[in-house]
Amino acid sequence: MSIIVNLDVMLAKRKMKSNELADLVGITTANLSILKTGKAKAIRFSTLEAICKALECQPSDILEYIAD
Amino acid sequence: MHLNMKKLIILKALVDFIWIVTCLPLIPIALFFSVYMFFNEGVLKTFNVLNQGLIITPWYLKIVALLVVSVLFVCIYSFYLFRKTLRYFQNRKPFDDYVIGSYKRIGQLLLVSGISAALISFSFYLFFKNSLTLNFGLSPYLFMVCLGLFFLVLSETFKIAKTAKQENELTI
Repeated sequence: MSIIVNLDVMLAKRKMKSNELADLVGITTANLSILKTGKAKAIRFSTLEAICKALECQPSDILEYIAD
Repeated sequence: MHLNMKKLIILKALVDFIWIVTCLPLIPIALFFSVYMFFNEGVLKTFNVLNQGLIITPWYLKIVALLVVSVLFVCIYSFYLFRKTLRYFQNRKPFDDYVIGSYKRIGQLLLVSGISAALISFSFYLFFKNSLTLNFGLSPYLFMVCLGLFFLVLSETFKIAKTAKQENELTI
């Protein structure tokens, strides 16, 4: 997929663990792992909003488009 | 208990009943018949075809009887596959690959056997009775073809549903 999820980069920048973010966002660590590994087919605006709020960042910090 | 589950239990019970009472005894009977008719030609009179003033050699009738038995076995196998898919519904796995594959196979088998049975019947009347018979009303062959196409469409629909379900599950 051309959309890259840079969630692990943001987590490293914020020095936050995956399970902490999962707790803050209100999703399971399994779902967060799906998101991090790029296996997710779609992301809800509510989830994106919660991630941005927890990591204090913009959607563009998490999602990146790279042409094939 | 959910209402749909009750309906499924009733359907499964009926299908099991038909399978045990009709299909299981039919397998050895049809196998026995298909072998026995080569030794005793009188058994073909049970179809009451020879008594209708038809002058045909029993050799042709044996071929037709064998083809009819083959169509019967295809129907039994299709019913067996359908019965097996109901177990997946009970286990709440309606979009499993096995169900999709089985419905596709059932559809193909019913379609082929429906067309074959219609051709056998048509040829039988044309060559042996010298009469051109076309039945445009509700015929079992047409019903079988419709059922086959329905299962093929159902298989495609289940495939689409499976993709939608996977996408829904992978939406975070």
